[in-house]
Amino acid sequence: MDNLKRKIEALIFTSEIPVSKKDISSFLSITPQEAQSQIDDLTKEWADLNLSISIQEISGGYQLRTKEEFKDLLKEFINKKPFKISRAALEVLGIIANQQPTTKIEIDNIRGVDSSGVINVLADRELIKVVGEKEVPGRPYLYSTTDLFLEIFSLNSIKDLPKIEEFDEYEEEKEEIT
Amino acid sequence: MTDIESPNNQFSKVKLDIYEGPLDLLLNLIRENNLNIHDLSLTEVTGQYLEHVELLQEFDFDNIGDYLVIAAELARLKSRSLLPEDEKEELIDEPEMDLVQMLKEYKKYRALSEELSKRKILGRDTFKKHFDSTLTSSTLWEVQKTDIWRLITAVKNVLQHKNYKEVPDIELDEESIDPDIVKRELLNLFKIKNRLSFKEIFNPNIDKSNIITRFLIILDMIKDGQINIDVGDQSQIIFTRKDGQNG
Repeated sequence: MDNLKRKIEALIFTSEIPVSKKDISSFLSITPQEAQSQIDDLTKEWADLNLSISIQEISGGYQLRTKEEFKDLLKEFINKKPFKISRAALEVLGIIANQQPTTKIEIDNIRGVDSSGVINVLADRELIKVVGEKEVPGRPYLYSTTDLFLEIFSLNSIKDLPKIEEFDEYEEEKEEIT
Repeated sequence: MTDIESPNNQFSKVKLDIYEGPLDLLLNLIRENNLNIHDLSLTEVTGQYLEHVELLQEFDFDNIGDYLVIAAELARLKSRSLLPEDEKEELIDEPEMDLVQMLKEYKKYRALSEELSKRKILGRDTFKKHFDSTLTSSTLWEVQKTDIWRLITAVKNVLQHKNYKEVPDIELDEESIDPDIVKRELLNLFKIKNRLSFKEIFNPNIDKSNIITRFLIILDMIKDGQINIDVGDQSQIIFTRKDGQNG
C-alpha cells in the first residue's frame, strides 16, 4: 500500500495546519489504525532519509517541520522582525494552559499584578481565546489556550506541558538570566 | 512604538505590565540575597523592595497600585515582627494575605513559563511551510528575556550614588527635557557603537531627569526590539543594537 503512504505524505505536505489522524483516515476512507501505521511508516521513512525536515506530532496532528539545527540559517533567510513574547506573556500563557478555562481575576491573583495588557496581546495573537463566561457575579470571560498555542510551542497536546504540581520542589537555576 | 511628539506627553506612562509584577520583584530580591521564601526573609528585603517601588513611582508606572498593595503587606509583616511576642497574639484576627504562599505559588508558574520558553518554538527553533501566512501570525517568535529588575536596580543605584543634594534642590523642570531629543542622542550613540555599556548610557554625570528619560526610552527600545539587553562580564549590563534597524 505504498500509494496510500504517498497520499498521506501529500496531505501533510500541503496542509497549513497540523493534519490529524482522524482527518487523514476519514478523507482517505481508511481505518484510524491503518492511518496510524502508515503515518508511523512515513515518519520513519523521512527520519531515515536524514533530511532537514521531519514529520512531527503537533497539536494532535502531523506537520512537516525543519530540524532545530537549521534555526539560525532560516532565521537569517527569512529575516523578519520577530514577534517578541515577554516573560509576563509566558507566565500568563502558563497559567491559562494549566488552569483553563480561567478568568483574568484568577490570573491576576497568581501574578499579583493586573494582566489585562498581556491578555489582550495574547488574544490578539490568537494564542488564547474566550471560551465562555464564568457563572459568578460580573460574568467574567473564561480563557483557554488555542491550537495555535500548541503549534507555536510544538506541543502535541496540552497534557504534554508539565503540571504545576511538578514544580513544587522546583529549584531555581542559579544561572543568570541573559 | 515610541510615539514621542512633545515633551511631557503620554510617554511618561510606562506600561510595565508587559514586563513583570510585584511578586516577580520580590522573588528576584529574595534570590539576590540568597534567601528562602519565608516571613523572615520577606522582612529582610522589605527595604530594598520599597526602594524599587519608590523609583517605579517616579516613572508613573501603570500598575503601581499592585506594587503598593504588596508594599503595605510587607510593611505590616515588618511591623509585626518588631512586636514583642505577647502583643503579637492580640493581632491574630487581623485579615492578611498569605504572601509566602502567594510567592511559592507564583514561583511555580514562573518555573513553568521558563519551561515554555525552552520548548522548540515555531519561528525560533523550528519552521514550517507557509511562512508568510499572516493569518496564523506565525512570523518569527522570540522570547524576550529582559531582566528588567537588574536594569531597574542599576538605574536606582546610579540615582542613589549621585550626590544630588549638591545640586540645589531643583524641582525637575520636566518641560526642559525633550524625550525626542534624548532619543535622538541615544540613537546617535548606538550609531557610533553597536554595543554600549550601562555606564555609557547612564553616566552619573547626567542629571537625574535625563537619566530617567533615558531609562524610559531604553525600555521602549527593548520592547520594540531595537536593542537587546545582555549581561556581560562582571555582571555588566550591555545594550546591543539589533542589525537591520535603520535607527
